[in-house]
Amino acid sequence: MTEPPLLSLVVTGRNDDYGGQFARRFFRTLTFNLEQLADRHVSTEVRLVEWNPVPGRPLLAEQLLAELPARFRDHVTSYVVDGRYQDALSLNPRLEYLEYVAKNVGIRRAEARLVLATNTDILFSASLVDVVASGTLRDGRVYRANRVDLKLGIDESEIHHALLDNPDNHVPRPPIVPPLYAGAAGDFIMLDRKTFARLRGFNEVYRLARVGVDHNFLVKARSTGVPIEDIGAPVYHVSHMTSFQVAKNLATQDEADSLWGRRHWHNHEVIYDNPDGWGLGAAPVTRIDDRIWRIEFDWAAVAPLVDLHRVVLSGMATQPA
Amino acid sequence: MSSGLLGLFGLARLGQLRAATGRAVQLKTRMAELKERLETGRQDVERWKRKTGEATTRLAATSRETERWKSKNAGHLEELNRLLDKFRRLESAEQNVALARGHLLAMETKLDVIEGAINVLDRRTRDRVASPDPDPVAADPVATSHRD
Repeated sequence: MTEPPLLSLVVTGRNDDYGGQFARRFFRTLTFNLEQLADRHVSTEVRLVEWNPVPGRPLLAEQLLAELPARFRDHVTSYVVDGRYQDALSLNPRLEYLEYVAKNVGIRRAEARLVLATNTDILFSASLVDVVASGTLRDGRVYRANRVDLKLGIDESEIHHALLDNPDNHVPRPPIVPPLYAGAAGDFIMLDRKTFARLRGFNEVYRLARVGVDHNFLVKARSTGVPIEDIGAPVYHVSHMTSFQVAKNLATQDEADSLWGRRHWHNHEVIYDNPDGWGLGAAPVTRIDDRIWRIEFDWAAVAPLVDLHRVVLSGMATQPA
Repeated sequence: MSSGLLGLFGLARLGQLRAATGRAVQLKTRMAELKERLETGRQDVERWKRKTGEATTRLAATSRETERWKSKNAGHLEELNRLLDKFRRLESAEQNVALARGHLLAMETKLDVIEGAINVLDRRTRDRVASPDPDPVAADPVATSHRD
């Protein structure tokens, strides 16, 4: 029996050209991160969840295997989730992509000791990889990282540390602060697999929003007594036209509804208690090929539309707005 | 002449006379000193009497002042207790407000979920009525995959 890897990278995406040249940006970012981790001998697996794949287009999972350097292909396991889950689970017909349910699919199936839920355009700093490789990260706590935004339009054809570390390329952004270390949390939430499973991943009860689900997870973790820490090293994010920070002021109402769903909800105060089948745990899985699995549709794996006793108060102090 | 014989005539020897005179002078001096000390003592007594009188007066004034403060502070203590009681009631009310607010937020969240479910079911019903056997393949996907 082989030893499980140290780190799982859980990402989600599909072949929909999100933000323009999505696949290219994703492959380049993933290759950069895997190279760094390999250089520091951090054993890594990648769990790609291709949620609601686009009919008539090649699978992102297949493209990834074709494009990724051969030495990393064995690191990747992809889950292609039947598109009917999006319709069956959604409580917001305008919201096109249940990102955090998708991430839960990967989190639930991760095997490494540490699980990092991140995004496909997040680049790891050298210091971050050093921290992960150091073996000092402890179980039972959530690690967060500051995100450094790189200016829109910088030459990202070749990614290297000189480009990332140069402050001239950075867009100022407030640092994460205690107690939650919130702010772009969806880009970096890392904790040990068992604690992630104990918390049952991201909110699958309030399936109306994409924005704020990451923050809501931090509230749940803290409310459950899981400490949250700054890992002490940044990640980088290359801005693009669909980045939330860029697009939130540009998108039309329809676009915003489609991209982010409900934008204002009580994600700072009200949390959730996901059912046992979180992360489509009860869904049948069939193998497409060596590294790609299909999550087949089954109503038995679909949580009820309404399960109100799973909406719970966080127990954290609430202040009048 | 012997002193006994002189004594028969009520006379004394010169030496005895001188000694007696000396003692008389000493006694006079002693008596004057005692008188002086007696006078000083009397003056002291007078002074202490005066001081005692003054102290008694001051004590009475202080007692009166003490009584006044006692009654005044009793009022303050009562006021303080009233304020403390008010503070405790406010604290309790604040906790109730926070709790009520939390429940309100939870209720609003539940209503969001219910509203979402109704919208979804409404849409499914309309789709079913409009097209009993809908084409499951969407025409043109919206680019919404991942997420930041």
